[in-house]
Amino acid sequence: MMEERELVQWILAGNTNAFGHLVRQYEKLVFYVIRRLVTEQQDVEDICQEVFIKVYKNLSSFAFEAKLSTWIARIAYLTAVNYVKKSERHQTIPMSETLEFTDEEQDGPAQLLVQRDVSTYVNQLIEQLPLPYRTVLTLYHLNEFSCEEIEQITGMPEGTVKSYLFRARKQLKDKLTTYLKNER
Amino acid sequence: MKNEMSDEELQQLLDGASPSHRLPFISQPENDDVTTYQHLFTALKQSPPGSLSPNFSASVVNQIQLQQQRATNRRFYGVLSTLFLIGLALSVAWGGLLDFRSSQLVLQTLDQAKSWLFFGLGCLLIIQLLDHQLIKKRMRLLH
Repeated sequence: MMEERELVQWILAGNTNAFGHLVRQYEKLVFYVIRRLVTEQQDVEDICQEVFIKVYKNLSSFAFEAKLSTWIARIAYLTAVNYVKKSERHQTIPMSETLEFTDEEQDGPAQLLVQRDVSTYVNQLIEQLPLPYRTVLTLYHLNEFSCEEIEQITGMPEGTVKSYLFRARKQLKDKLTTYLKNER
Repeated sequence: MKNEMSDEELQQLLDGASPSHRLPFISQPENDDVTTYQHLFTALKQSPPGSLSPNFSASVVNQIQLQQQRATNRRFYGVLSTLFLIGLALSVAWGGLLDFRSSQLVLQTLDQAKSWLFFGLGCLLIIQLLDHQLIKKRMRLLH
């Protein structure tokens, strides 16, 4: 925590090298959130950059009430959600809240041959999940935030976070069971 | 005895266990659900494909420095044009005190040329705006 304070003070004093250090420290966290929430992969790096520019501009308002990582993750989450909403409005596709996977037949034998790797298959399944599910899965498993921290980041109540986490994992498990059975 | 565990219980158990952790108290060793959940939890910890460019932090810092430079330039030109306008007003006022006719002549000339002055300023602003857009587009292409 002391190191974080020191780093923030250096940045606020105008040290851009210190900010470079902060970017390197948190770039994976931001990348994971943006990569999982934004489907247009060519925009991921631009959005990550936008997140860090927002972090730089708003750093003076960071009061150390939460961890710096939680605060940065919240900025990343809000930026991604804004982007998704904008792009969905542009494509006139409503933001899906349904729990079903899209009904593309991805479990055909040819597809299964390509999707040998479970991780690759799970990644493909995650991309089909609704945004709130993708969010909680990423923040919990990849970024290793607790449910309480996810509440601070997303504004969803802790109970909702837990419920989304359970339902998302259950859906993925059900799909994976079929996949693994077909593999044998 | 078959020890059936619900999905919720399995998830809670695996949340507290490392990915390779064996669950010894599950009496059914070939419990498919446990194996599938273990596969899933391991897969969920894997990074998504792709990564940021190696010089990402440098490009963020460059972008911030560029924005700061632009803000400094804007402030500098703002102060410069304010000083120029104040100087012009003062010199006209001072000239009016010394020689009323010549000062009136300056004001008349400015009045006659005002449409050209505004047109010129407008053109300058449009060129700046287009230039800004072009730089932005090139920067995006570079990334």
